[in-house]
Amino acid sequence: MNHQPSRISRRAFIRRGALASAVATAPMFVPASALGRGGIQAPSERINMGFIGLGGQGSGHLMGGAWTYIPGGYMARPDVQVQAVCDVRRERRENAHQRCNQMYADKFGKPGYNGIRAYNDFQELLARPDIDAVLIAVPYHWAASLAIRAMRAGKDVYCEKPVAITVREGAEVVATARRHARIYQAGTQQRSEYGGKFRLACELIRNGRIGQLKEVYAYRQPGAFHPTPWTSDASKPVPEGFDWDRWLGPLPWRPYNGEAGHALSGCFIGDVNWSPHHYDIIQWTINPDPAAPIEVSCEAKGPRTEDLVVHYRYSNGVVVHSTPYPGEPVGGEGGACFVGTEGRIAVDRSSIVADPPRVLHAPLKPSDARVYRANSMSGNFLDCVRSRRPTICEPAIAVYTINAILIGGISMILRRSLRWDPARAEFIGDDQANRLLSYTPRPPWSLGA
Amino acid sequence: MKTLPFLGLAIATWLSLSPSMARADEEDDLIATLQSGGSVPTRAEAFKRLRIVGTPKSVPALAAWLNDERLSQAARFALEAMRGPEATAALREAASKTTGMIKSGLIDSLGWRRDAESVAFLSASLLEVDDVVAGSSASALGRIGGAKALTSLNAARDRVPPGVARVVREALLQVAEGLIAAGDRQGAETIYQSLQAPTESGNIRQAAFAGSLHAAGDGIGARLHAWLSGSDPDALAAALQIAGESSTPGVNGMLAELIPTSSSAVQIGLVAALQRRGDVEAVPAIMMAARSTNTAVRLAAYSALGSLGDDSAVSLLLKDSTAEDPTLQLAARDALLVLPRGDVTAALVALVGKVAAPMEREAFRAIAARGEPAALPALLKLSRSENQDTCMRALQALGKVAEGRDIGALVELLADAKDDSTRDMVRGVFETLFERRRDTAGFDLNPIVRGLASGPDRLRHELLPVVVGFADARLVAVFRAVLKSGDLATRDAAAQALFAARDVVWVPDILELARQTSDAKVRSAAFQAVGRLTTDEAVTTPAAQRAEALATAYSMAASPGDKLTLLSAAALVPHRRSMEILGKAYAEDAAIKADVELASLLLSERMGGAEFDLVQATLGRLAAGTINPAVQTNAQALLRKLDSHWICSGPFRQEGKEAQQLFDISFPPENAADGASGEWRRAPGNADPARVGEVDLAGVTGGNHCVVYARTRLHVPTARDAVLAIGSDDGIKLWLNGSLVHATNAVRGLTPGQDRANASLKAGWNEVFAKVTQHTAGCGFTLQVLGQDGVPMADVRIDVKGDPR
Repeated sequence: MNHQPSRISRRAFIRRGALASAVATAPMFVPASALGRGGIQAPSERINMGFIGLGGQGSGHLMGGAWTYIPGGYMARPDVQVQAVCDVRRERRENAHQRCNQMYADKFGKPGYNGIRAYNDFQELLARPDIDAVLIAVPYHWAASLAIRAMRAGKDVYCEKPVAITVREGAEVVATARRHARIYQAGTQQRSEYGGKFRLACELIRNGRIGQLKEVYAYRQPGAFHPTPWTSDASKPVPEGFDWDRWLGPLPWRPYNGEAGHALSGCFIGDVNWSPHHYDIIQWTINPDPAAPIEVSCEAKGPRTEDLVVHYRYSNGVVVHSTPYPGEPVGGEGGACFVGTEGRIAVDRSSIVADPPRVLHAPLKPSDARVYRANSMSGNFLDCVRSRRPTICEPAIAVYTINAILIGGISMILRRSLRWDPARAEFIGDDQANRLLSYTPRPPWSLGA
Repeated sequence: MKTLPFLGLAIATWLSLSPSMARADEEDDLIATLQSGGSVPTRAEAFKRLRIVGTPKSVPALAAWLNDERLSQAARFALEAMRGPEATAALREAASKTTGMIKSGLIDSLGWRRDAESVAFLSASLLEVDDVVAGSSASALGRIGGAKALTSLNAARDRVPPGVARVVREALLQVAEGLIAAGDRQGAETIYQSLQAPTESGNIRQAAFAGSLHAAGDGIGARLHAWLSGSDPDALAAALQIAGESSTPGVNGMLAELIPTSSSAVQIGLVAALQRRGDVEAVPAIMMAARSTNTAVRLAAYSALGSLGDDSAVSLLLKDSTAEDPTLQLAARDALLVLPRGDVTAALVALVGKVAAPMEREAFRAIAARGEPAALPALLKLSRSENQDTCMRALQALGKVAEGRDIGALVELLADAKDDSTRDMVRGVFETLFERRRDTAGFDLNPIVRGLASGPDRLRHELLPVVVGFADARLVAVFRAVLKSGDLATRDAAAQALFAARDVVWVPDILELARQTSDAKVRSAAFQAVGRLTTDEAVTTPAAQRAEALATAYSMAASPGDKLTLLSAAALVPHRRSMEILGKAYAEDAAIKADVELASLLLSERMGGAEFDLVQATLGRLAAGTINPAVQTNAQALLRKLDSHWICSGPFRQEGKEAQQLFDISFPPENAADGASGEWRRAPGNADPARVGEVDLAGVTGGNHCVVYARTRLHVPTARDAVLAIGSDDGIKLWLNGSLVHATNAVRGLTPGQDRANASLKAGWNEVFAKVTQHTAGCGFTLQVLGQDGVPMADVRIDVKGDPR
């Protein structure tokens, strides 16, 4: 067997394994001697990862934290070797760099460990051939662009939501993943985490436990990117160590005015940040024909954007409302309320409830239809990196959901009803609406660059 | 008097925020804005708006800004999505006159417009020394595609700097995809083969190999085999990923055959590919992988077995269900739960007693989780095992598997139980069964009846706590006979069981016990049991029956503690009788007055608008003054929210008819000429601030599949046409001044304004009459009166009495 427990990438490992198989006559497995000490997998078995974006979500994925659903983060996983961290904020970058190196120094028993490198420019990180996968947790306007660049560089990608802010971006994500045969996972962890509550709701409903599904209440407005160009010269000094120009990236340039969070004000209508969690679960459960048209309408309850209510009608007759189910508090925390002809189920991160309650008491049978099962979002991603199997929220799924949100947002911008053709990724007979499916990124950050 | 929601809105503000209401001359104004030298913000808004409404007429005004450093991107934003050759020509013209970033952006827009006429210009730009411009040109050519673009890209691929060369290769991959879409697989394959050269980078090679597989058509099997068994790592990686996608015959067998001779890393991919392909013929190969010593291979195999596996995998999975590695354990448990084929439960049962205790525990866990009725005989047998652990786990699983038809077998188990611990466990099976099923429809209760009536004393005593878990009339009758029996020990056992009863049907018996005893503690225990049973949210007994039971109990209670127990319960049972209990307590017992006031407030809220006059009177009393000021404040607020200004009549039902069948059946209020016959009462509004304006009929319907009528009067000072914005849960018919103006026979939740109807309002009072169907879950409706412009009318008044004030 050619395998050597040296520090090589998994890709190289596959090469060696393949070479071995060409001459092997019996099953070949990684011997126990190849495994590292203390349950840590051998370097060659680990997936080399880079982390781009080290704010709350990114550093939570990386190192864990009280709020995150990944105890200890990817740093604690025996099957991952973190190789690089990247952020346009020096303070975040250096903090993560120092802490992660120290964690590995403790974990591997190597004082002074300095194997993790820190980058301001993501392009330098992506250019490293030894990095197999990246986790992207960046401001909304960078998510798709970075994912596309990473996949073109041959990296597998875990991308936090929103995975795209225009339909064009989403289409590019799907096309690039297919073109480069990359594994891609959208960060819609409700499919895997939270004790399987969302999967349970999905499977119960898909198996007719509340009769025929008629309506769904999403508890969240959808939203869309609708950028305002640079209109003000008001500015503040850019904080030391903050690469403002790179943070803005594809957005229209503007002076720094102290605002640089997940998004800039004036760039979005409605909600594109939390709504992906709600609408992902809804689409998973409705299970619509992905090629069938969707009708989307916008109803003004008042003059403010917050007063807009969006309704979707799917080809299977299910209607989705952006509002809460009247009187049902469960659903507001990333969930939804599903109403069928024989009852309803409301689910969110904290609870799952049903009317009548017996809906939840009758267990699913082995003969019932099941959906993709995963009990850990990071675990599923890494399993799929190894197996090349699609993740639980692969690009086509993630983009179908973000498109539902974006077309709802476009309906809010135009305040009229629209018909969406998912197969063609365009509105039917509405040129004005179709003009809102894309935007013009600031050079040099075009999607093709 | 109430005005409808949103009446105070500023119409001007509303209109200014309605972008879809474009004016015919809007584009001219926007062009003028761009040409007037106005402020940057004004121009920026004009660009944004022209993105939506611009036509070729706007092109010259927009083009003037394309080379402006500050606003080029905004001008491009407006032009890029505009139809017609004018926009393309303007972009190309501007690109030919500029350099650097601005040119790069303009070229990007030409690429997205897929402008074939720009290929020559882009081909020249591809060779510029500015890498950003050259890269944009390459990308644009890839997007446009075609023979000329391909020629330019091929010519440039080895002449451009590395940063541009990377984009050129990406563009070539895109051109190849365009050729496949156009049916030219060979043309695409030529490109892919050129990018598979060993000199190319690994990621480009992998994409090229993947592309070759996409272009292969029926020849994919041969390519997959060659690359999966070959030595090229990039070909192998691409093949592993694409192998699961193809539906080409013969591929499954080929993948399965490769597993034994492949490395662990490749085995993982092969197993995943077989799982995606969904062919059960691959199960033996997957089983082989599941025996791997490599954890990752086993995990992949377990996942695949969960989709495709059968009972032959049970033993293997059971073993790792006890694994120390939690990931492996979870994967094995998950697979056992969903194994789709073969007699999995029988295989699990067969292993009980033959495997180590941890595995046996996992076997029972899986049997219970799968919940298959076929497990019952084996579980009953194992429940009699001499092995205490096996017996206990079998009984736990029985609770998940047993059904109403299995009562006899469970009674036998109870009769044969050898010790108290086992008897407790068997009673636990009954409890779990009751929790799961809630009602006894379809249950064979004869074995319990027989056991109580003629079983040995010990069995009778053991069955008493079981019986009070059910609300079946026959069981109640037999139990009451036991209560009257002369056997003191049996009567005591029955009394103890009663206090743990699970249904309100047992309340009369509990109260009878309370009457007969002189022991204060027993009486308190009885009242607590009554309070618990009448307020259990899982109990479906009508509120009237529960409130009446509380009234009876309250009449028997003497101590303040017992009274408060029952008043607390009454506050949770929404019924007129509960109101009366609280009213009586308020009038008669000054010592607990503050508690009664709080209970009255809680009950008023819980009534949900039912018994409006009584609730209104109660709240009016509380609003006037209470011992606790917070109760007064809340009462005042609740009073304001509850009045919907509608009255309602119903529910009306017809045997065997569901909501949608009732929709066109006329009940008395609908048949009366004035719509006023029958009993009418205030329709409840909704206390939820987010649902003001909603008529909430959930508390009126008293169950499913019925109809409720509602009516009120609308006043407008002048005759006018209006739009009625209607929401309903479920269906609704609406009449205006006796004429039907809207009908939706739906089963749905309520969203205000989900329906619209045109209506002509006469000056003065207009009669509004509604029929709402109730299917299941909530019931209610909303009505807003809008102008033709969609804005709520400001001068509409609503009053059920048509009061002219």
